[in-house]
Amino acid sequence: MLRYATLSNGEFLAKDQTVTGFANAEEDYADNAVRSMLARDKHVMPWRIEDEMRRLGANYVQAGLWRGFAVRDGNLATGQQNFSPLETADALGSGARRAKIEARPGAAAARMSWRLANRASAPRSCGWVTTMRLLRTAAIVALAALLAGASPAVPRLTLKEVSAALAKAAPGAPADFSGRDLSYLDLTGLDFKRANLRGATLFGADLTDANLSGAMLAEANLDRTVIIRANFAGASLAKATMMAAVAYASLDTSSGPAPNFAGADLSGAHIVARLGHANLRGAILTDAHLGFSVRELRVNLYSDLSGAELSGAKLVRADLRRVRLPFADLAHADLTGADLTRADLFHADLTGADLAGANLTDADIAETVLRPSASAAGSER
Amino acid sequence: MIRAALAGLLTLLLAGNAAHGRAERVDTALVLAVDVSGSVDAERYRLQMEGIARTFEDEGVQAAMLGGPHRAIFVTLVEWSDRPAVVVPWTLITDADDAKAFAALTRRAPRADDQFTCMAVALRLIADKVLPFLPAPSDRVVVDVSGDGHDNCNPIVPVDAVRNELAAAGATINGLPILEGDEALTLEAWYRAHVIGGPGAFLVPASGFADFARAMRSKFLIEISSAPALIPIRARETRQ
Repeated sequence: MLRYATLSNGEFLAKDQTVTGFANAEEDYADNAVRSMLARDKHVMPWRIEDEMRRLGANYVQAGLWRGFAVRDGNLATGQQNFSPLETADALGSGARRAKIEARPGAAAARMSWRLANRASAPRSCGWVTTMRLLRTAAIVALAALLAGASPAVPRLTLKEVSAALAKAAPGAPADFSGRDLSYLDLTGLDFKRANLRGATLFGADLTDANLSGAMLAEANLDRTVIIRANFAGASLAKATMMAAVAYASLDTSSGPAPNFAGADLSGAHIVARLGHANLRGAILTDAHLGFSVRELRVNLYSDLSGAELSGAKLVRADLRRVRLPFADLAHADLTGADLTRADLFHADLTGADLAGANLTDADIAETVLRPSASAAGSER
Repeated sequence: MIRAALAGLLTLLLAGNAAHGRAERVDTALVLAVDVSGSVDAERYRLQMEGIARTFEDEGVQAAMLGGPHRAIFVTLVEWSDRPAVVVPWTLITDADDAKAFAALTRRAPRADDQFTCMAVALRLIADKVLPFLPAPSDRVVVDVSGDGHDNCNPIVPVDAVRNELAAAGATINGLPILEGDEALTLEAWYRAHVIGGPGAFLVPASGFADFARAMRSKFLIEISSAPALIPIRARETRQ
């Protein structure tokens, strides 16, 4: 409907509004699912919402493949797709989530950051869009001016600039993207050659098949990135954020190679993502935050580490509240002081894991393997 | 005898160094962008790859490739459909053996299994992720685009806009439309309007996939060699 709706002055209603809707990635998924039934070179849908919204001048945002997600801009609330009824209802309800839109002067796209509010009860309903135009231009301009004054705008790098910098990089002289903005870039397949991305913004970037092994990503923003088959082995991601990163092209996390975080330093990182079957062997997750309480988190967003390989990982004082860890390999992991409140540890392997001081209140430990290590068992005899 | 052996070994080492990308400058950097969309079945794919391989094994083409002042070219092979992929990275060619080795790589190139004809996306990849990684400077940059259909991906940035960007940066985009199938009657005109561009750009249509090898060889000889065309090929004037 937003593709056609216009105001009395003839302008498209969606123009300059922050909206969401079916993502191109989701359309691709649908096309692939029925490819054998499609005529040659045809798509399921005659046109695509993401493309049309951008064409109309809307600020289109999305949360990743099949993520429940909604956004409200003034009185216009939109849900991403049929998995978003709760989020859309929340967006419509009073005191619900509000989007703080950061507009960078001269930039074609705006980034969005979330301010989480207390949960208000909202009836379940199917997602639907309310349309009423408010005068908000002055407010947005004022907000943009305030943000621009607060911190100087950092121009976003182009893909060509990133490629050129990586082409020039050499051992001992890696590319330096520290503090730079690489948001929304298509970085698929690039070898970052241990680049310095400290404090960089990679919001919404596509890192499918990218090689970030050994890279410096401390305090980087990897929210909403696509990290399918990405390699972060040995990388430093201390205090990085990785909210709603997409690690798989389908709902089946066992369907293909998982992202690789073996030996990576994720201490103090904030991660909420489906990382089932990911390789986190020997990773450092000391003081990392992977869990959220229901009261804090409004959306149906959670950390899923089902079947993940976490053997030998350091999870000292890690926040693992409500994290899904069924069938995870946590053998010999250090979970000293970790908070596993209501975590799902069904069939997880905690052989030899150190659980000293760990909080397992209401954790699901059915079928969990809690054997001591063989050496510890031997010394007890 | 020992001196001769040592000299031979030294030559081999130097030649090996050149073959592994140690050229300071080359005459041409050539990107072969090959359509592998759904309309390209296994046999058509084989004809394309075989056509490229035979072109590189052709002595006349080899002479043209190595006839410039630097006697070297870089070549890479990109397959494109829904998403483009570099299947053979930048490869330095300084002699006939290098050319034959590239032909062998082409024959073994893995095929992406996709459906659509996303030419704008392919040119975008070439502009942003292929050309910046050229191992050494080149006197010319040439992008060869071959395919049997127009762009059907509804790209946000249309193919001619990306073509213009490449041309403005000094690249030449030549076309090899394969006139077979539903779009045979209109494809040549579409390539002329939306695909080819840059200094001396031209196109060589193939009358079908079976004619691909012949068309590829002709196009190679014209674009690589400095000699004028000997067969009546419709050439495109320089596009700004």
